[in-house]
Amino acid sequence: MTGITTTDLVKRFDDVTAVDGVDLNVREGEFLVLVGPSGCGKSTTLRLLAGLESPTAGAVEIADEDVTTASPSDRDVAMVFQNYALYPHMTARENMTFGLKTATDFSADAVDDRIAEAAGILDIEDLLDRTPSALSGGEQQRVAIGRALVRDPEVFLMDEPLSNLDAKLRVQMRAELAELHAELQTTTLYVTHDQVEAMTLGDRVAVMYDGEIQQIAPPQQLYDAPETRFVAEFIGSPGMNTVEGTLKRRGDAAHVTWGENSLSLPSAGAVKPYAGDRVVLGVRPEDLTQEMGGPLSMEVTVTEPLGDSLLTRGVVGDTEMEVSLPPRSAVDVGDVLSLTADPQRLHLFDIETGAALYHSAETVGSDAAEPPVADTQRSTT
Amino acid sequence: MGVHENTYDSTVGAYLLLLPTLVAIVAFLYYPSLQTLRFSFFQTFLFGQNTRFVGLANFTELLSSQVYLTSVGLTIAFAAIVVVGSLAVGLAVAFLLYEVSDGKAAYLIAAIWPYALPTAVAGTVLLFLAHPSVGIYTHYMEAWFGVELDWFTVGWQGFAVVAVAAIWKQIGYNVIFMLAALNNVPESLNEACRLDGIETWRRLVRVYIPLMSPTLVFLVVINTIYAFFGSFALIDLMTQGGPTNATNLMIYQLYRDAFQFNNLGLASAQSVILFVLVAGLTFVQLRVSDRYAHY
Ligand SMILES: Nc1ncnc2c1ncn2[C@@H]1O[C@H](COP(=O)(O)OP(=O)(O)OP(=O)(O)O)[C@@H](O)[C@H]1O
Ligand SMILES: [Mg+2]
Repeated sequence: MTGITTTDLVKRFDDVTAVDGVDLNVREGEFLVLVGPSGCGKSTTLRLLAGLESPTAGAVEIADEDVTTASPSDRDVAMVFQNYALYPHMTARENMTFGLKTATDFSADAVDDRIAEAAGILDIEDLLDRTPSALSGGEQQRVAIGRALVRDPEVFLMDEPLSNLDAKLRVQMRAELAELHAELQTTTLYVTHDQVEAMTLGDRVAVMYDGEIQQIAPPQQLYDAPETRFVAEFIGSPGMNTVEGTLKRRGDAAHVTWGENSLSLPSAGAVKPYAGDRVVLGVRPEDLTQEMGGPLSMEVTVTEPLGDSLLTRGVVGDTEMEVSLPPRSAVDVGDVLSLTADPQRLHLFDIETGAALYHSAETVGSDAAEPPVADTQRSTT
Repeated sequence: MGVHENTYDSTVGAYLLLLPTLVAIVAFLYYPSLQTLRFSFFQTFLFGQNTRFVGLANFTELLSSQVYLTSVGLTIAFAAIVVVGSLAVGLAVAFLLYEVSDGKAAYLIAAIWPYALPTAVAGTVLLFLAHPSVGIYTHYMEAWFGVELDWFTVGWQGFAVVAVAAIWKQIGYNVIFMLAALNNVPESLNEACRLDGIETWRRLVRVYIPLMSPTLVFLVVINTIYAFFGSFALIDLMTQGGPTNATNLMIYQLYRDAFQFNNLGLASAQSVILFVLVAGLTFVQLRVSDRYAHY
């Protein structure tokens, strides 16, 4: 079992608590993505696992062995740094071999074979004798991954390895990484602040906010049944609309109202017991549609044609919301639209804690125990 | 260049702007240098008021003088020792300073203060600290190692004392530059080394030194020039070229010929030789390092 387990991991820098009680369990062979906004403590978590920082409290286990105080070189991890950290005076090949003999016990022949193999996988055979300054960003990144590959570690740790690439190359490298993982099946923890990258790459995705893990779930479940308001707003592009409203129950029926607007909730009995009547209603932009005489009316403030859809922002009641309309819809700033929401895709959150109270489509995403190695097809297509 | 060619209607304007600088350079740099070159072909009397053209006689006299040739040899050996010594010690100190985490500032000040000391003061202080009969260093060296130290009369000891003093004086300068270069090495390279468990020594040799190489080349050149010219004050204060000419470096011999024996022509010729030697060395160093230094 070569997974990673952290128990109540805490890291404080002077007065900043960068990591605040993280319990993470990366299963053997799993590709787990850690995602969150800038400064939420992703890199710090990764560095704690690598041993580059020592935790203020808590424990780290790699392959069932407590490595909390072990030195980085004793943990059998390979890290891909955000800025690649290639040695600028060495060729790509030297970058991959330097330290290999200290870190592993391969013979000279084995080293040559491994370099050739990694170079083949990453398609950098022709670049091996160049120094990093003669490589493009994407090529440097592949060399950096190659350096991690040849070490054949128990665990890969990757810190935003694609963040410096242009959009197109990023998509391409994303696919290559997914393929690579499908082939090698090495336990991987991958950090990114890009939620699209997280959704496409991860067998499971851990959403982090303010030093704490908000939710760990397979991508679709994260999208369908976010456990907190933060996850709902963070996952999806754009994220979920959240509106503060009043919950009114009448027997088996219930609806949420704000201003002149009201949405009724199917099977209201499923709403978790809740004190008070102020709640946060969540509905995704893509689950709102235009409908004559719909229950919501939105005054349009901004339209953003995205090509495959027309993202429209406006005010509903006095809350900003976004709706994803079909492309080429005839909508202008100042128009008042009538909207309705898919009743199967409504969510309620606690107004104080942000915890989820209700998902109208509770049938979806109950497969939390999905096997670790999900189909990688999803990300390569 | 083409774009800027027509900024001024004539080049006269440009030269006018350059004039103050040109005047200063010519008056204080080229004129004295040319004058030195001219003097080296003359024999001078009465502080240079009377001169007689002698062609290359000064040079032939020097190059056939055993004393002078010995001085050249000594100087080259001295420079080699001082450059290697001050770079090696400076690098060791700078790397330790870089690695230490507590009390960095205090160590840094301790490491660079000799450089802040005027050479004349440093020379005087060292003279007393290492004085053969009353010096505290000498006392303990003799007590601990049971050697007889008398660098006022034993040639190689005098040479060693001056070389050590010159190295000591230069360490601070090297440490400042080396520390700046070390701090420029990205922290993530350090972390990559830690992940691989690369030993300190190997990290220094394989990662830091190559990345510091532009600074190291600069320091080799500066230290070479320092070793050839900057040791004058130390020699003058501590050994006056002795014992038995063991510290009679070229710069000191030059000074003696010029100001003790009033032989300006001969001194000028030595100046020219010294210049050619240092310029040649610097050129070779830069050419060699171009090939190996990583910029
Ligand atoms: N060495 C340090 N000293 C003090 N504070 C630090 C240090 N390293 C990180 N922090 C703080 O800890 C918090 C988390 O930092 P971290 O680098 O883990 O964020 P991140 O999630 O990786 O963000 P990003 O997406 O921008 O890389 C930040 O508030 C940061 O300022
Ligand atoms: Mg980061």
